Amino acid sequence: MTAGSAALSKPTLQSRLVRRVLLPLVLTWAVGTTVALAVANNFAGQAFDRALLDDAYALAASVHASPGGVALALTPAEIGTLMFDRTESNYFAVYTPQGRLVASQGGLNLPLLPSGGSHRFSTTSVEGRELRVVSLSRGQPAELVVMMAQTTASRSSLLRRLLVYSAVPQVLLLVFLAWQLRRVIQRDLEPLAQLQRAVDQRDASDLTPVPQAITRDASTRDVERLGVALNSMLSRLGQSIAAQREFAGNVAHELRTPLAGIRAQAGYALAQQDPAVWREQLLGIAQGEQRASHLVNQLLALARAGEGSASVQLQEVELGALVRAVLLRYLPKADAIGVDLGGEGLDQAVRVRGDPALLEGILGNLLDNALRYGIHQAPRVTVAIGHAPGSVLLTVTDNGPGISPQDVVQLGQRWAQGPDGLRLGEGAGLGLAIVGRYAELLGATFSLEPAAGTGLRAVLRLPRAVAAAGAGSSAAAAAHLT
Amino acid sequence: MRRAKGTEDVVVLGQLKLDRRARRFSTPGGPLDLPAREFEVLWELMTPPGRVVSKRDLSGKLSEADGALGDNALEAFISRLRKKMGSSGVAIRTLRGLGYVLEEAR
Repeated sequence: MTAGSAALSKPTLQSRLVRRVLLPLVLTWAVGTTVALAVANNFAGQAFDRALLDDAYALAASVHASPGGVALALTPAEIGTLMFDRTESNYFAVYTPQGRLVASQGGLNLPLLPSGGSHRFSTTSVEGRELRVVSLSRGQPAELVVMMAQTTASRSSLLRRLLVYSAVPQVLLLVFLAWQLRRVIQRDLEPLAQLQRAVDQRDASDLTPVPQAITRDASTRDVERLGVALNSMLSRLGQSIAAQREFAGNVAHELRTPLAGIRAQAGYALAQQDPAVWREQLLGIAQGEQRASHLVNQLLALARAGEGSASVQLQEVELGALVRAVLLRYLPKADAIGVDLGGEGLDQAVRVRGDPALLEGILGNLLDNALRYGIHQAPRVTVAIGHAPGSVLLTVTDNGPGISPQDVVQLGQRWAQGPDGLRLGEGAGLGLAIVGRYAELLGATFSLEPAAGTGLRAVLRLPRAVAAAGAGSSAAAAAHLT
Repeated sequence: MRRAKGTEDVVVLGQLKLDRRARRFSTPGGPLDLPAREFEVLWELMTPPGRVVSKRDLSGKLSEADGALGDNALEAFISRLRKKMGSSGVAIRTLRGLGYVLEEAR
């Protein structure tokens, strides 16, 4: 059975609710009606029986002692009056205790039934007629048994009328109740139907909240909770997808530079014949791969740790040596495009608390941007380590066209590109967002500002609390660093 | 960046040759007669060629032999070396803020 056919074979919530409510209701009504009818029938039967007993007493009072035993002292007219009934046929018989019939009427042979006391009611069938019979025993003026019988048509008719007059309105009431119940349940479940339609028609990438009719404006608290829970799940799902996209984007972006380096080194080695050169380039390739792997692991760790709670184990890093190593890796690229790439203050032994991969990632992204967008006449890019009160500054300055303050704000966003990036059709708009994120993880601040003259100056400000000055630093630097 | 062919004993870049055993530089015009400090500078840059040597490292090497050496003095040695190597097809390139590197003249 397929999922679809299985789903079709299941009842809807609405029909299930209606059935679950209506079935007990009908059963309860049926039992109640039966009991009520039985009680009513019993009391009505008692009334009929009492009338029958009264007739039996009246008849017994008309029996007198006679020389031959007992005799009925009623004329036929009196008997007709006594036995008159518009709807029922009445019969009587008077017996002696020995079973001798003293008198009878109605043409029906009533058998002598034991009275078992003063009187006793019973139902019997005589000659195909159902009769209600009372046996009345009398001791005065003589021992005798008076039997009075009556057909049960009135009783049956009364029972039918009771049944009709009580059951029909109740059935109608029950039908109305079912209709009303179904309508109310349908109305209350309508938000769920709306939710189903909304989810069915939704595109896989659409993670916007469900309609307010299912949350804030829901008619019941249960539906509201369901809508709120669904929105919460959609929100978490959106965050998860965004994190995955960011991870994929970061990996792609960050791997571009090391892969380009590996490709350049491999190309150079293939063009040479000297094994020593091959070895040197292979070492470079291995180091490039190692950096790329480390970078991916870092990104993976960041992604796993979550966007907001990621933490990095900081360690002491010799900033000058790190910057120098990165610059030397970028020199061939700068040479190839005619950029004067240089450094300032790299000979200082400035030690900071940081993460080499993140610092290299920051510097690599800034150099990529400077070499790509900061190129102007006599292009010149300078990476400098400097000091400000309470901070160690790592700056990347180019003498390119620079960017407007509006673009500075926009470029901090993920996937955002400036006019030059769009014009060149390069990059993904991730670099500065990654720099900002890495700076955050390092406890540093990052900013872009106009360079002196023309160009752009990217500033990473490492707080003094996480920086330390090593031996060989200048006196001024030592005064700022602990 | 241009790389030089080299073996353990002899290092060659362009037309500049270093005989490590004999501790002698030569060009097609003949051996280079270098004072001790200039020789040390060129040795550092040539072993291996293409390696970027920082001013601090160069100053450190030279200071070991004969007291402290300032940036100006180092630049004076470099300047003199450049003149003496004019016909070797090799140039000492200054990498701003990074140091010096020996490469074939363009």
